[in-house]
Amino acid sequence: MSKQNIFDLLEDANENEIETLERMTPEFSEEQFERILKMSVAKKESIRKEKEKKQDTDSVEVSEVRVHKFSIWKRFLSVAVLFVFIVGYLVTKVVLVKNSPIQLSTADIMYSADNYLLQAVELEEYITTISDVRYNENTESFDIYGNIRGAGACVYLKNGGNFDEFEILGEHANEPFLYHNGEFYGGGLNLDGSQDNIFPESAEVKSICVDDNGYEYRLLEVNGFQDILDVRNKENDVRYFGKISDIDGLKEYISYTGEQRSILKTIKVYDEKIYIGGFLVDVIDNNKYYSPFIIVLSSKDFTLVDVITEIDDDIKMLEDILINENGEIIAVYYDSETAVYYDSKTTVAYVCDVVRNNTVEIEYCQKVISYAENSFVYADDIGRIYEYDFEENESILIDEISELKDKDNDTLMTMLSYDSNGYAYVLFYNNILKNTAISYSEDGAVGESKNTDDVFILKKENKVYHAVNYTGDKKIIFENEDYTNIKSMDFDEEYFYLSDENMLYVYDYDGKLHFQKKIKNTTGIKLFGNSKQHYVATVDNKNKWKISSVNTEEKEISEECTVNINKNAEFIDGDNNYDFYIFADEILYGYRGNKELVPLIDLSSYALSGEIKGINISNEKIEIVTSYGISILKPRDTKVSEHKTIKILVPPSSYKYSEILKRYKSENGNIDFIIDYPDSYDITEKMPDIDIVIADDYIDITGLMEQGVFEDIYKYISDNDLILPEYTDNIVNAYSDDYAFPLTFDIKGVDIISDSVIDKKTFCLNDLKLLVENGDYSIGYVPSIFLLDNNKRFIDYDKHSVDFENDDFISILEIMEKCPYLNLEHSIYESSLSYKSATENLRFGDDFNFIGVPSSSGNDYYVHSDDLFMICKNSENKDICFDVLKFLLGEEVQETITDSRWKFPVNRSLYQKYMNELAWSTDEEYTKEVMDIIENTHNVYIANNKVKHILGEEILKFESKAQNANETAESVQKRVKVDIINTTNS
Amino acid sequence: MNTEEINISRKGTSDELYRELLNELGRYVYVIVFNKLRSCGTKEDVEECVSDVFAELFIIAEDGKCDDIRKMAGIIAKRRAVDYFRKLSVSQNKMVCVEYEEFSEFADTLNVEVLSESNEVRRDILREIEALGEPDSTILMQKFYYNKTSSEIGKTVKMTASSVRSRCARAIERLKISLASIGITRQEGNYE
Repeated sequence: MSKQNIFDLLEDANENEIETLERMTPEFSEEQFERILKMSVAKKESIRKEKEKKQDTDSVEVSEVRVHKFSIWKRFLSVAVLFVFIVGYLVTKVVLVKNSPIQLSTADIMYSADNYLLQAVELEEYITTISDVRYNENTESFDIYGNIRGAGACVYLKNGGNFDEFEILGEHANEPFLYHNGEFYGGGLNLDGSQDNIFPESAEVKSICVDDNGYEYRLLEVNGFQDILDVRNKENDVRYFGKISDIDGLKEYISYTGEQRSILKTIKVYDEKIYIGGFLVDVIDNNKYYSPFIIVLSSKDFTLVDVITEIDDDIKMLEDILINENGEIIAVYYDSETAVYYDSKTTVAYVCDVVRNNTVEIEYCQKVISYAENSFVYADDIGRIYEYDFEENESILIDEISELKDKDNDTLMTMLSYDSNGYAYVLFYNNILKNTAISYSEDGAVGESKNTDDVFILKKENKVYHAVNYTGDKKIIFENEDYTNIKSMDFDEEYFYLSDENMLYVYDYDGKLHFQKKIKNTTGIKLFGNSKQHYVATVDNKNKWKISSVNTEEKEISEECTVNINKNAEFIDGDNNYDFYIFADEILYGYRGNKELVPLIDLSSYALSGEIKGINISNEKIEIVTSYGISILKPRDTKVSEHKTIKILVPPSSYKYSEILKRYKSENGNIDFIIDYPDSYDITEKMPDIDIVIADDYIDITGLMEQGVFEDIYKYISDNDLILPEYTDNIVNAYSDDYAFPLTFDIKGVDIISDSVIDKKTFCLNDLKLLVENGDYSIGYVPSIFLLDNNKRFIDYDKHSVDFENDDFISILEIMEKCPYLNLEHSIYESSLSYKSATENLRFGDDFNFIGVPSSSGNDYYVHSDDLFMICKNSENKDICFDVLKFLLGEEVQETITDSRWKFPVNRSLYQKYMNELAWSTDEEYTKEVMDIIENTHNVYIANNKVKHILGEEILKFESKAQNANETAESVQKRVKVDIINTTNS
Repeated sequence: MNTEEINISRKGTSDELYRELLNELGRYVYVIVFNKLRSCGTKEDVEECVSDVFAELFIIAEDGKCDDIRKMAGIIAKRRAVDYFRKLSVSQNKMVCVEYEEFSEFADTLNVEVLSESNEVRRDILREIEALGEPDSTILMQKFYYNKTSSEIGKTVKMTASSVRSRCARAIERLKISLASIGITRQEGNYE
């Protein structure tokens, strides 16, 4: 077994282990989700269309072959799934034939990048969340609101994300642990919102509490020490900083090396005592035994008072302790193993009344919040708050955070506190107030809004709504105790707009109600506008947005327009060009008083990375804030007509091209690219200018070539006397018949693992047959390398001749018969020589038995490329396409392209550089062997999908014993000749 | 997801059904595929294979041909992964961890020359990793199994890259200890 990392041993997991791995695997990111979805849907459509096409074809054909095919397909359709399992690879290859007409979305070209030039600004990595972006007329730039990682606080960045110019707006820690006496504690590294780090960056706050004198008690993990206690106040008066295990009498409880480990989880302080909860783990005979404990220290002199170990057995990994006014303790263990449903944060909690040794099991308990004399309060994951009474032995719903229930994406992260006035202090994800600790009441909602100069936060505290000017003096500018559920708010210079689902309220800045107006039939409401005009947008059950303008002079609202767009649309304040903007389904619309939305730009064509968090529009530019940075779209400074748009199809998931083409664009500002992934593969209607494909999987190159879809790139180059960077001639020329230009390549062959000496030069099909007959060898999936992906061996497209009835084909079928492909321990298998494998094969010493694909006369290597560049005949910008090709063949770009897959570059100087590196890292003789193979390979490994399809069906019949080798060869010969050669001739 | 739930989803738009399926089963399928292709495929290969699986699943779900879609997803994923594995094995590059240098020390301590490949060892390792608790288990898995960078991991666990690095360092130490306690110990550079 070769040297491996221990995580490599997790491969080939069984079902149970897969489930465990699944638990430890994060969900797809949004970007990845959308990418896979798009690829899957495209492939699905392709399979569907192929099936339909086949059914149509089958129904009209009457030849013997067709009749037989009908039965196969009918059977295939009826037991498709079962077939998939049995035939596996073969069926994938057959089914994934992509022949449907391409459907480029009109949106892709309607709002192409003709009008705007993309300029991306990456934010410093310190910014973790961005909640909003606003145009600042004073600075003529935009301001961003978000949070700093680690340091906590709400951040306000000026001037395009320049991190040197920012202000801390609020003192809230990023992820506060505790709300106490009106303040939030913990989370960030700083105690007071300053930027000076007190602890090393690696320090982790495991738990925090505060005593009545303002001293903060932290349980820390610092530089590998897991039991650090830190006690200090905001003035940085340190009362204790050190290891808990250094306190007399505690050594035996605190150990984090060896077979017995202790883990400290929580710290509480009450009545001059410090309570530290945790547990010991003993590993005995591969079983773990948990012993929870609570250490009690004196907060006066930090000496040991007691260690409570008599805690119920159900409490294993003790995670929290709560203490009531009588000094009685409950211990809490959240057991995700027995959770009602695992993936959510919801879990089962075991809560033990330590004094009475009474443990209860609570389902759906997200967090136990507080402990009264005989009952404790806990919250579930959707914001319901319960009180459990030990005596009554039941839970009673006492409160509900209403807004959390309504939002699909809101997840309660943690409940900080629930005070005696009935207010819950919570922290939750996925909201405009992301990672900001806010307060809720039983019926209240919290809103937030910002105008160009100020940030306002609307809070409901003590049953009164307060609007606070958060950037200024934090003066309360408005308060009202009648409103119950404020949903949206906005401001202008004169008025302050609020609405719930029934009413619009307009206040002046003296807190006086200017007017109010009833709103009808709405399931959602948004207020927006600019200094000139304010609007109310309401949505009905059918997702139709009704937009009304607010006339503050007449104290009226009047209907402006109705638009049928996504309920999740974002409304953006207007400017001199448009009254307002709407962003929905990736398209930005403008509204200019004509009752209709004008689609302005489709942002999906810009390959923006990350989720779009906000958009700001000014006269000069459109700024889009994503989770990774800011993209600025600037109007072009030249006429639109001078700009060219090149449509380019790349293989699904080829991220590298968008990055590379951005580089091209930065050098050629007048060229825009629309990068798309193919939805289907028969380019017969709308086609791109450039198509980049993987040779064997993504496109029927020979088929499309026959249809005249591609430009003969080599002829074009010679006709126009064009000059490319120097390339590896034999590799590129191998593709000259296929109108495709390889950007990278590898060499296809087979690997043979053998104890005996094999003559690599003369090894042929007969030798292979002998090995197989002797029973010593098995072969990886035979059809793939010999036939399906390499069928040009038997077809000469230039001469229009087909030769499947020769001895080679029969021999291959006979070898197949003796080597069922399901044997994974094959000794001969399809392989390829890439730069990566060339460097790795050396590790196996002299066993470099990579030889060509055997034929009757010897063996042949084949050129293969994952990056075949083709120019479509109908392109009106062939000169630009050629220039792009030239760019892609440049040494620097080639390095980027080969980097992701470690293929060989075709750029000769880079190729030579790789070879020099190979010689340096291995040896010259070996490198020469590799170069000999590469430079003497002249045939391409490329398939015609129609042939693949026919072969797939016929091999299936052969494998199922429906026909013998000779019959299979005859049938293939007949069908290929009819279907391919005749088509070519026609 | 059972037939009834699929039927409910089928009443919505196709897009809703696809999203529901991908949402419900995406991670499961990805784990199966990655588990098979980890040593021979790139991230792109894995996503290609995953999308192949879902292309088939979408058809099956649309046609209402399946009673237990999760089970079906598992079977198709395994089959497709084996297909891809055959195709990619040996010839393809193995995924590399871009931050490997910074963890060379840790990786080295976890290298194994000779170690039984038995299911038992795998189960033990998994159990010990999981026992590290969240987020450490996820961080370690993402770091060393999924070969993600610290900043990528940071995004999923909502931490800074440096916090991920420090947690990772501590977690790997803890893992070493716990593995040692169940008999997977390092002697002269190897686990025996």
